[in-house]
Amino acid sequence: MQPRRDLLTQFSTFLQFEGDRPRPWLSDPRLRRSMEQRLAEARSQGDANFWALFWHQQWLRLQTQPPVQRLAQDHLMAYAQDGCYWAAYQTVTRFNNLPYGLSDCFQLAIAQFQKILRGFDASYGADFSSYANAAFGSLIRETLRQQNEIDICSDWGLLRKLSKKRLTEALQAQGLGDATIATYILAWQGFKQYYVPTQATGTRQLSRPDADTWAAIAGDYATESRAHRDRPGAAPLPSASPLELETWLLSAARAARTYLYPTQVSVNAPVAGQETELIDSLVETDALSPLEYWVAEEDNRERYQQRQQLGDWLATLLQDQDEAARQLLELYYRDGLTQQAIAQQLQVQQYTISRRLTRLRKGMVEKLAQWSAQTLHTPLSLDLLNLVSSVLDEWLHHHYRSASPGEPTHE
Amino acid sequence: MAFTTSLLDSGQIYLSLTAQQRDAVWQRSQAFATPQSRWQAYLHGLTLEAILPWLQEEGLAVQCNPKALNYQWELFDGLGLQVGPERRRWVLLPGEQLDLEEWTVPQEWMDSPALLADYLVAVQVDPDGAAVRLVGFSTQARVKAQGRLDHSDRTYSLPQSAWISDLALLGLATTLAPAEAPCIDNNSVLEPPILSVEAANNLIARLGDPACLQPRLEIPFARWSALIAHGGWQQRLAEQRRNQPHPRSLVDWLRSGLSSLGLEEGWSLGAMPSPSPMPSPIPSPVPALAGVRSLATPTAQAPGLYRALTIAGQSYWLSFHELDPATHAWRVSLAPVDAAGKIPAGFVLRVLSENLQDFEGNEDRAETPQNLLYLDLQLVPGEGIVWEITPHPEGYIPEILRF
Repeated sequence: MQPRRDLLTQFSTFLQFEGDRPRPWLSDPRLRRSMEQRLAEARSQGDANFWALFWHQQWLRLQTQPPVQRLAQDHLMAYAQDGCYWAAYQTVTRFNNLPYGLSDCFQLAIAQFQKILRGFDASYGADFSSYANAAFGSLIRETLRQQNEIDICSDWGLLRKLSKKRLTEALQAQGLGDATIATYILAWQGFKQYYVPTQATGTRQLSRPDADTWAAIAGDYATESRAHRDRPGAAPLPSASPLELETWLLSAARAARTYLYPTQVSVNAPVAGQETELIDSLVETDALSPLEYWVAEEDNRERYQQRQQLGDWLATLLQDQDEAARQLLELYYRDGLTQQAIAQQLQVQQYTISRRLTRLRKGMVEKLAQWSAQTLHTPLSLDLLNLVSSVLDEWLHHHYRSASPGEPTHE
Repeated sequence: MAFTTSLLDSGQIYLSLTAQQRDAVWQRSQAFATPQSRWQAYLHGLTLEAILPWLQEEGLAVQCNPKALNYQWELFDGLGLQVGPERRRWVLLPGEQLDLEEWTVPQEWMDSPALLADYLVAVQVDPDGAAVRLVGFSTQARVKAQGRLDHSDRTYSLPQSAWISDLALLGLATTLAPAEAPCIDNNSVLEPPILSVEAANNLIARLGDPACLQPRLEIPFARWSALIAHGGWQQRLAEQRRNQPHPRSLVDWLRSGLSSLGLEEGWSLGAMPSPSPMPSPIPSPVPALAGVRSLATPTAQAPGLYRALTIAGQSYWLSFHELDPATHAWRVSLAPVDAAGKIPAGFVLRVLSENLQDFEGNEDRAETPQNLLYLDLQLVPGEGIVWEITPHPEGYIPEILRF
């Protein structure tokens, strides 16, 4: 994969794969035109992160104009392609016997980009790319973990281990309509209520419920579907025999098993030919031009200054840590090793690493929070702690990434 | 599996148990009333077993009442703990789900005045692996703002994006940050109705049938909230569902000897254990209770029912003596086990009606360190009372004692 160096391509091109090999970057004409226009308007270029924060600002402000907001989102998704790629690459090279290749990991991560976007806080002039890379890494790891668990569950075991939201989304991904989904969910709730494990272990490999349990589930479904019908505005739900319920539930389990990530619903994607309109409409809307954005946001300058202060302060804090602590941070943030891998390398138990890392981070968050509260004259609240924690994580990722000799290139 | 435990992220806390611990929790859970409540007790028990050592390691003081939890888990989910110097209420919410898309919080912890949580903690439980993972936390106010109440099962659901995934912040917030003010809205119960004893008895009889799998959904939330606000009613309802109704009748115990439950709960029958003396014939003014006439002082040899309590690390005797069978007069007293010891200033011995109402003269307070606190009670046969000591003894439940 060839890294992108200029702003135009960074914010308008996407990665494709042939099997697990990345192909040359694919340009999106709509995004290219939009970015060209913006770059022309801006008096000075600004660095990549400036543009990321600019587009993020637009994304936040344009909630009421979905098509235009989508443009900002797509610019950011284009920018985030690298971060996503390296997160996928790191995961795939760390573990053997993964059922997923590089392309799969990339896809399942990038499909959840919305989550990442929603979780970003631009305070302190945070580095979007570092944040995205760290967040993608977490997402991939978590998804793989879950898939691994799912693979060793029987259908009945799996059904017990789903949240309602996950099951609903899995059924939607299968293309089922709302009414059908409602019946499946009702059946599933009855199943969970009446089919409870009766042993301390073996919850993953639960066997098929017996006839009595099916009767209870069917009875519950009958009661609940009647009650559902009585609700104002509710459509009547069909009755169901135990056999039908079993069919539904097995089908639901299959849906959950194959569900990896939400399907991209491109409702707001522009139709070909509408692109120019969209870009023009940006001028008429609340969207700021980059120049205005820069000028209007005095906070930005202050935030950048704070980030500089923060960086200097954190660098000192790092120097104050002992050798062992610094090594731990390097292994985690620079090398992207998991706690298990670090434990193996240092020849200690995993829980030791978990404790040390937690304690180290906790100590740093606490100091950073106290410092922030003082310098910003804000109270030490949970909000501040939360912000500080994500700033710290992102700063550490960024610090160690830029300190490392350079990403290995694929091919 | 090769990589299961290594896909952890920095903010999450992974705690493990031994197979022996898991099996012990399983055994204890079998005492519950239904397969459903047994399973819930199991998941909650695993969580409790895993969390206490971790809290200790983190240097966080914790107050926990396993006895009360054993009743509560029969009725609704959630593991409530008081944590840290300010005794913030943490509510741990165990779940078996593999995905982290959302977590559910029973409405009890969000909208009942008596139970409002400070911090809600999502806990993923893996019984097969004997492990527990703390995956995120939030506050009552945030859940109200960003979560959604499902009226059909009375739970709030909170999407993952709305909770905080760095569990290190939970401890930090508990000790450093002020508590967030709870959010009160249309779904909140502001002042739950005070249930009459009769109403509570009716509800307990009706909801006490274990065939009714979810008693909490059978009656309006405000009413349920009022019922569970009383730990003594939680106890009675749970016992009813287990088909073990325990009247805890002091009169019966006195006349016919202690029941096995009485013994299990630490009651003893006999002469007041020495060396704590009974009060002198002319004590400081007898608190004026409703309907109390002047009372005879029991002799030191009169048998009574007594029980050891631990309060703030010290041992005390809580005793009940029948002053006059004819008039159903009783005395309840609190005295240190150590004859040389004193009840610290600020301690209060209190008696409440069965439905937790105060009445005139129902408190004896130690203004200065005392040898003894006591109250004389004028009771009606079959009447129930709730005793209370402030500060609460270890494992305190506002149990209903009957006369």
